[in-house]
Order: sequence, then structure tokens, then C-alpha cells
Amino acid sequence: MDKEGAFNQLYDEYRDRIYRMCCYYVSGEDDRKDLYQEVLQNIWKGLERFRGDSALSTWIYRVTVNSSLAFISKQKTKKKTSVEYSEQVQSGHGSEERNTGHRNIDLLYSAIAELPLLDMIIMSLVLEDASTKEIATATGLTESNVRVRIHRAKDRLKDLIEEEES
Amino acid sequence: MKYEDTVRGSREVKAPQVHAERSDTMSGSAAETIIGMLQAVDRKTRTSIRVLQGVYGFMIFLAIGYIIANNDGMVRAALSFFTLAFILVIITQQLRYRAYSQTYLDVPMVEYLRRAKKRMRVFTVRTWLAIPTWLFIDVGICLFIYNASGKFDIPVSYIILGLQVPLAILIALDFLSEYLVWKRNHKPAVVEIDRMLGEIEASTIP
Repeated sequence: MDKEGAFNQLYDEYRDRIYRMCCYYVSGEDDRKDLYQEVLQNIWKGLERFRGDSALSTWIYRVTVNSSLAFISKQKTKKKTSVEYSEQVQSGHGSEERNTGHRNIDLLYSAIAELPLLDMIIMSLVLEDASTKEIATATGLTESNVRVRIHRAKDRLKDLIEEEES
Repeated sequence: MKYEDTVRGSREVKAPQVHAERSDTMSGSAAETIIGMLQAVDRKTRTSIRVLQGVYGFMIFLAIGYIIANNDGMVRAALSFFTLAFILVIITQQLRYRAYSQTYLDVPMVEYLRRAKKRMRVFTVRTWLAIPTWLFIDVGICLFIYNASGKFDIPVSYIILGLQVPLAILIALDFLSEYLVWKRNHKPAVVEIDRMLGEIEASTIP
């Protein structure tokens, strides 16, 4: 398959996941879109180098995590708050249900931003259903270390969501 | 509210259309639109480097033509030094092209951060290549001046020595501007990468 065909397939399958991961790392719609574009650009640039040593999903997770870290480092400091979120949420039909959906997502993003960097990276992958092996490959940690960290990070995230809610 | 509800809700977030305003001028699906955008950005960077290399390649071609056509040994030597300087410019641009093409993004994150830090160091090979480039240009100019020395009233050695002052200033300004750009654009990122590496390393200690 040529590069464009491969990218088309990948884009259709992963774009929402990539965008959601961008949302975990940066706040503000403009920054999220910028990061999303940067990730797509990096995937496009690196696609020819992908030799299939790992699963495509693992490769995409790596590129997304590393692009996000580079983006954050350029922003000097990690933003700690999550702000406006609106157009892309497709939850519910009634306005009340939709507002609750937005509030939940803002709450989740705020809580993730409060996590230590490594936990934030791990949770961003967990929330997108990455397997322990994929997370280990993307981060360079051992699988057993990842399992322990997922458990701790989930607990911390639950606490933070409850704190934020109350 | 439950953790599970919050997480479930986040799955409903969909990616926005990137550069949707382009869609009216381009046919095809959203993926084709974004491919067009990505190709345009990629092509712009690669083309600008290749054009620069092409310009210097043409100048080398002209210089070699003059070297072959000219009988004056001093002029030929001067042009040879200019040619060497132009070759270094082409090599510098090739290094830039390679750095752009190699993203290193598909490696584990700690390795990526270390590489990113290395790539963001203040003076790179490309910066150091500026010194021999300027020196070759300097020698070339000196040889031209020496060749035309009969037309000057003052000893040619004074002119050549005097020429070294603006050249030294040019090299210093080149390095200073490089440093100032780095300080503004890359230093905060390097500090942040150090902080990230420290945080990740501290987190991974059992």
C-alpha cells in the first residue's frame, strides 16, 4: 500500500484516539488542535520509517506521546487547568445531558492534569484502551512496572475526580 | 458521579476537522484534505532547503567554470576557496534536511527526550561549520585583494589585516545571533525536558 493509502486507513481508524490523547496533555482548544496537527504531521513524516517491528497502534501511541512531550516542553510549563470544551463532544441530545457530558469531560481533563507526568502519560494510554504491553513499549517501562503504575494512577485519578466533584 | 461514567463520557470526544476551510477548495474526503495539508507543509520545508542547495550548486558551477577559463593562478585559488565555502553551505543544508527528515519520534519516551535535548543544544555541527565557511570566504577575498594589490597605495598587508576585523565581527555576530535565538526558543524547552526527565526518573525508581 502506498503512503497516502496507509495514512488514510490510519487516519480513519485513529484520529479520534489521537485527538483525545492530545486533550489529556494540553488544555485550550487551540493548543489541542495545534498538538493534534503536529502529531498528524509527525505521523505523516515518520510513516515511511515504520517497518512493522511493533504493532501500528503501539507506533502511533509512541509518536503521540513523544510529540505531546515535545509540545509541552515548548510551552515551558505544563498547564494545570482544563478549560473550554464544546464542539467535538457528541453526547446526548438534550442540552442538560450534553452539559453534564461536557462537565464530566472537563473534570476528567482537570484531574489528569493534576497527575504526575508519568502517571498522566500512562493514564492517557489506559483511557484509550492501550494494552499493558503497548504502554510498556511506548514508555520504555517494564510490563510489571506498568501494571503497578496503572493501578496506582487509576486510584489517584478516582480520588482527584471525587475531590474535584466535591 | 462514578469514575467509569466520566471515562465513558470522554470516549465521545471526536477529532475536529483540521483546516476545514481548505475543504471547499479541495475535493475528496477529510483524510484527503488533511493529506493535502500535510504534503504542503512537508513540501514547503523540503523545497526551501533544496532551492538553497540548488542556488549554491549553481554558484559552484559558475566558480568552476571561471577556474577553468582563468589563467591567473591567484584568481583560481581565490575561486577555489569560494567553491569550498559553497560546498560547506550545501553540506550544512543537507544536515538540516536530514535533521528535518529524522524525527526520532518512534522511540521510547525517555530516549526521545534525551535525543530532543541533544538536538536542542546551543551549538550543533551545523553551527560549527560556519567557522570554516567564513574562513574560506576570507581567504578567497584576501587572495583577490592580493591579486589586485598593484592598484592600492597602501601596503596590501594592512588591507588584509584590516579585513580580518569585520570578518571576526561577522563570525561573532553569527554565533551571538545563534545563541540568542537558542536562548529564546530552545533554552526554556531544554529546562522543561530536564524537569520531565527528572520527574520520570524519580517516578520509575522502585
